[in-house]
Amino acid sequence: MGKSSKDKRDAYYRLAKEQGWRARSAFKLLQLDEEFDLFNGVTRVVDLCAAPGSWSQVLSRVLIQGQQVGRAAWEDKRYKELLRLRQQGSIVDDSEEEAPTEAKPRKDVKIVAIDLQPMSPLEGITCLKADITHSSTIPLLLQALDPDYDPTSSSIEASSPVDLVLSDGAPDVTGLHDLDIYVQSQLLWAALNLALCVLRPGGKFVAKIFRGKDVDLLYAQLKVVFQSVTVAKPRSSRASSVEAFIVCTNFQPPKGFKASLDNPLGAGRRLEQSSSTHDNLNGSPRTVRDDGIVELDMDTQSAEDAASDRQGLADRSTRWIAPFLACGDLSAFDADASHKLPEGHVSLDPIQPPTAPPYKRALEERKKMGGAYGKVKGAG
Amino acid sequence: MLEHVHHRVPVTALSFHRRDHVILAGHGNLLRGYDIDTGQILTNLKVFDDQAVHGILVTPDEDVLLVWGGRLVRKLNGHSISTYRPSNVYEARDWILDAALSPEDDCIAFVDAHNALTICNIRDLSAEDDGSTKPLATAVPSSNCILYSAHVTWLSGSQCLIASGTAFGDVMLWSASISRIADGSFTAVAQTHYTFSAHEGSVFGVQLSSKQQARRLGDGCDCLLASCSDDRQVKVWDVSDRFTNSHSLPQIQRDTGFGSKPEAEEHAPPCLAAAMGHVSRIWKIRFCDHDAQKGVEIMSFGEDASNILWSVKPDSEPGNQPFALKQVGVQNAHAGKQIWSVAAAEDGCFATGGADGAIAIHHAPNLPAEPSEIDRKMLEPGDNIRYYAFFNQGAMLATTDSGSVWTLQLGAAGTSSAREVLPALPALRGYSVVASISRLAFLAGSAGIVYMYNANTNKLTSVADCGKKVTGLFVSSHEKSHSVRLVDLLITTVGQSDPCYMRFVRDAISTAEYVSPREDHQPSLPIPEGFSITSFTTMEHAQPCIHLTLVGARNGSIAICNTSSDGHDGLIKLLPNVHGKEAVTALLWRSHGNKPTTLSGYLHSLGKDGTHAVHNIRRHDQKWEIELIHQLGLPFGPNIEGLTILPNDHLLIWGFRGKAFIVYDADAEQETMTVACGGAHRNFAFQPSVEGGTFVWTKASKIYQHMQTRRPYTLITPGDHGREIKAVSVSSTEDMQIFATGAEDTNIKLSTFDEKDGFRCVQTLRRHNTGIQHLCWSSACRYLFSSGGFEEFYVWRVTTGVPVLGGVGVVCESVHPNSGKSDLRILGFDISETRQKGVFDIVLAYSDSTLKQWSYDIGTWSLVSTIDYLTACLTEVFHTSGHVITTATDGHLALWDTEASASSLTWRTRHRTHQNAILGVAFRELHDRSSLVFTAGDDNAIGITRIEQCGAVRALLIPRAHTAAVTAVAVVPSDTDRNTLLLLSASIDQRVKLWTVSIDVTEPGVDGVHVKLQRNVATSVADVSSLALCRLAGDEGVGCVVCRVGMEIWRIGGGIRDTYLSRVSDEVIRE
Ligand SMILES: C[S@@+](CC[C@H](N)C(=O)[O-])C[C@H]1O[C@@H](n2cnc3c(N)ncnc32)[C@H](O)[C@@H]1O
Repeated sequence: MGKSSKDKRDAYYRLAKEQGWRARSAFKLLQLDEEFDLFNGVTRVVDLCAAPGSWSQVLSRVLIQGQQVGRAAWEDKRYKELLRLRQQGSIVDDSEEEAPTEAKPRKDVKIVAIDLQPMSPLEGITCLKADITHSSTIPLLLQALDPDYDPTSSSIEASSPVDLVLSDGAPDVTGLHDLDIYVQSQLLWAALNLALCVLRPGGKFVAKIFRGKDVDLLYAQLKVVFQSVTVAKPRSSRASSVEAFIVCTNFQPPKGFKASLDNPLGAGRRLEQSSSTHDNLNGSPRTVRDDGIVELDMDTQSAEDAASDRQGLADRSTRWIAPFLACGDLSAFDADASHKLPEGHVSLDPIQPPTAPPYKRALEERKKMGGAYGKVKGAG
Repeated sequence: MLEHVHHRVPVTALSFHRRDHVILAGHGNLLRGYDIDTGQILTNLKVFDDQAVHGILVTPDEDVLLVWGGRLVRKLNGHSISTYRPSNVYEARDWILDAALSPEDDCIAFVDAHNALTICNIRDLSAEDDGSTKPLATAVPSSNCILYSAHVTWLSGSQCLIASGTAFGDVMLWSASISRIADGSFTAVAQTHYTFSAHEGSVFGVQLSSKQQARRLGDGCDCLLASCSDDRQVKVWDVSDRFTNSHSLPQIQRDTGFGSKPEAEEHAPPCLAAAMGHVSRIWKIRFCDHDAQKGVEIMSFGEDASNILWSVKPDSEPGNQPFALKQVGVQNAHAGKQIWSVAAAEDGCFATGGADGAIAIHHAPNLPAEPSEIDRKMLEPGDNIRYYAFFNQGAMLATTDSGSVWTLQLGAAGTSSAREVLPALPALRGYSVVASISRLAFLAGSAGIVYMYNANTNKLTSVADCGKKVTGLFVSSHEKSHSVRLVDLLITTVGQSDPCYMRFVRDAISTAEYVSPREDHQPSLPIPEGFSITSFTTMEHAQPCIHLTLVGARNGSIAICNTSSDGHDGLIKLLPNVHGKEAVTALLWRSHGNKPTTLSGYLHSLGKDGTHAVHNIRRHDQKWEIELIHQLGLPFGPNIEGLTILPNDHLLIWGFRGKAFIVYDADAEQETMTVACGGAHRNFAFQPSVEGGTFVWTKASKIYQHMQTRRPYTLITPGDHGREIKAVSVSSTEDMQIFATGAEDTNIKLSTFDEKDGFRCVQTLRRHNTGIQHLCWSSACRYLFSSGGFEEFYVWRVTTGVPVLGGVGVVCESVHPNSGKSDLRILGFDISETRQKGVFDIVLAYSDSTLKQWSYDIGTWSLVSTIDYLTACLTEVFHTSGHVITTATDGHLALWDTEASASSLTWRTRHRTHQNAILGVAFRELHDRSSLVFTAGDDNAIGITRIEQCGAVRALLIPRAHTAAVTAVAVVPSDTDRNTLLLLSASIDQRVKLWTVSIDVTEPGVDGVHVKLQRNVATSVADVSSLALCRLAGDEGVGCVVCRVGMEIWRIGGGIRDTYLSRVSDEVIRE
């Protein structure tokens, strides 16, 4: 398979190169924004786990340069064309051809990006190299947000808080599923801990989440501090992946809650549950939606023979299933489909080489010895 | 309803239980005890509800087992392996990485993933089980940085030493002095000795040595630390000096990201040795204890499913570390990827557990690792051994360059002794060929004289003179009666196409000699022109008296000749290109048949195309019936050289892979012997035995031998892929239920299941080059269809009930002509049988949103139609109620027109049911001929769509059916109520749910459809991707199998008998 095979396999990989994004992840954020209007009224943002930096690029283009990056960037033009050919009754809104709008840079923009890996600089963005699970990162972040912050003070709250905290962090998965889910949840807790320190009331929090075993425990915890919690999956994220994004809006710090360095959320510490996370199951179980689909609102957790088979101190009331929302119109490129390349397609080099893996030296060493490194049949 | 029957999932914890000669293993939430020798399951305990077991600790008196996983801990009390009973569950604050028992009292120390230490007394843990969960208190709080590995040891009854490795390459060494306070709880004072950057990647394994082990490197050495990492390095550190203190990691306000420069505060111990090993990440590392003579040895275990033994040897190179790690040996006992668990026994034996669900018991090596050279001192100077062959256990006949003939006796310890049979024979000088069978060998050279060596008399006699250079000798024999032995010899000579065929007979009662019948009684071989013989065997059948000669050719063909000398001589059948264009290297005949009057048997053949083939040959009503029932590639080759059937009835096959000689037990699917010999293309001889055998080979004019008397490891519960299973299909024939699974490892496995022994793999189909996407049996289960990436689509013909091959023969009947032509994936397909045997209509769903309809007729393909859907990737295609229906990643069902004329397929309507991809479907036709289609959505929802014959479509949606993506659904009709269906759903939230769906067909659309959740159970199969129904033994014989990271069987129960499953085959046109 030639150089362009990945372009065919993954439309977003190709689009990212063509549109100058450092990673295909940019589209995930853009599609989340399309659905949730994430950047509305936002000027101060923290981008956690940001390398190689495509989310920061989105922030830079939208907030600093004031551009609009709309649906046209990821639309598969064939979709509507094919629908038209099929003469499928009423065609979905194709009127929304966006006219290029004038750039409107925002004022007083502050963006801080953090990652373990070094990240090429981006104009107007403060990049920090740090581990978000490490407690020393909190003062580091506070200082970056507010140059007057005194790191020797014991305060761990931002004097001028931010509007939005993003985290796209993912560990290197091992394949031991429960461990991977645990480590990912630790990253989420770390991001939430930072968010609790820097987010303004009413602010938003968006983070990558692995939808796996016990993810409902995490949802329930997030619901304690945010008014609305939705699990969202952008079209640019593959159907086959466990990855999704938790979009939390209207931050409502619990009364008397203090973020703590010594006793962060995650291992051991939990947020006290309020009763509001319980869904109202009293309404009619059947609702007919506009599109004719009948939705069945039912208890899907406790079965007839409800003998609880979940040991542990967290009981059933600490579980809650966040509503799911797919983001991006169906006309968006399909991340799972194979695509015919546009005529005259030239495969471009990636904008940023991928960050060096820790086994880079092992690779080089092996290459010297002339062996095919890590070639396991069917690997990947 | 929904009762757990069995599962085979990765082995995540192991421990030896000496007293009962048992290996304890954590398989998901179960603790199993296996008899080490027989592999029999002796105990099977559910320790946790929905948490995998990650560690097992056995107290010295073996009366208490401590089992942990995630945050949970449970104590089990008992007196023997079958009496252990679990007590209350305890919960720690965080994920437990390691635990150790104090040497003096009964204290246990736990280290968690944030480096906190928890101490408790094992006697204080409740022995009762009241169903509640109790908290465990920490003694040393966490240091707020995430660890991937930790090892805790007790230096004394009140002091622990802990090594821990972080996700970012750091290692910490710290100790804690522990005291018990009045209320019975423990406090500890911690002290950090070292905090340093040890690796460039996550530290996945750390291990501290004992004092005795450390001493082997010198008197100044008290404690060693070994570490392994993402960076593929194994390192050994000297941590004997623990007088200095270091800042703990949180105190060091340094850069925390990758590539941070070590700072002044950092305090690192001396690194004694470092080495690179494994092809991927290294998970675990252990010090090997058993043999003090060998100095310090360590073993590393990797993602590549191998374990490497290293020895720590002084390194005198200036500028290097003081020691070097020398790789002593590698083992690949597990399939696929990952070794997740390790346990060591005191006798040097150790066990590994893999993602393949297998446990390998590795025996302490007792053999010289180096091959031994066969002594040539007895030869004239300048003379050298050329050709050799075994004629007896450990005994070989050998010829030399000068033409002298020797017998060599080989000993187990690498010794050998030689005896000259005859001094230099001019006829054998410079060139010779040797062939042998038990107690008999034949020799020939360029002069054309053929000699026979008889081990009974130790005599060499000349038996023929061909007058031309002999190019090949082939020999085969069978006992005609208990004393009469018949020997057939084929001699091929240069430039002559007809081989010379000779027969010898010996009546052991009257003589030790073999005699050759008169010239005119010698058989002739009616093979075609240009048939260049490379392999040969014979068979003899008593009644009717038939003698068959079977020969294989250089061009891959096999000829079956009647050599009965009863006037029926002649070529029975030429099987062209059985092994493509590659040489047939070996043939083996196995008679079979309960009636002595019918000749029936199986011909095994091997070829340089890397395959093993089996033909069934029968004589029925004076007619010959020959059928290829099996031909599959082997996991090594393409130079596959020989085979035999062992006394335990296992088929043993040998050949080469790369630079190694491989002996493979095809029934156990295990490599029993591996010898690094330099590769194929050399003279060699091999004599097999159950535990290995003797391999002799020539390398750079020297002759070496390697004798193996014990397999390096034995496997308990082998046979899984060791990679994620992506598709499953269960056959529904009465005689033998086969679970076909396709995985990320590109293999398809066919397995059987029974409740006592679990799954048993009978065949592995290794032909795909990409991960398997979908599998489906034809309804009579004579065919299996498989699809993958790169447009790969294969048709497999499967024969069950055969007396060889574990009961199942498989032939790849056809490869779709487009296979490998593009990078499209075929995610789903639909098979409909036509009235004609072996002819199918096949609809394939591609990742580029196209659907193609093909007609398949025993190996020939014709495209019927091709049509685009839209832009989304199609995920499934199926037909019901007269509609062809597809699902896609856009969450829609589309109905396609098929009736119009088969010439073109177009979609008529599409219906959105899910917000995002549809990952699984199940459907059921109702008695009003409408259908219910159940869909598993990535949006956590289950859709129930009613499709009426007229094409009217209405959908019901359960939005939060699971906590995460629903990946598979299956449906069974209830036996008691024809208006009720049972729906099974599985999700990556690791839950399986059983729902009842009742239908009143008289109500319009889905108004009459009512759903109720019946069961919600945890599965040990992570990341579930597929679900299939199966038949189980017993009255309530319907179950389901859940697959992805392992396989799990549930009994559905609730009065459903397997009548439903057999119903499927009623619809089938009898084949
Ligand atoms: C999927 S990438 C993020 C891509 C990024 N949003 C973009 O658009 O370019 C995940 C990142 O998480 C980072 N990461 C993982 N664990 C981290 C940690 N503990 N602290 C900081 N960054 C972390 C990794 O280094 C990696 O760069």
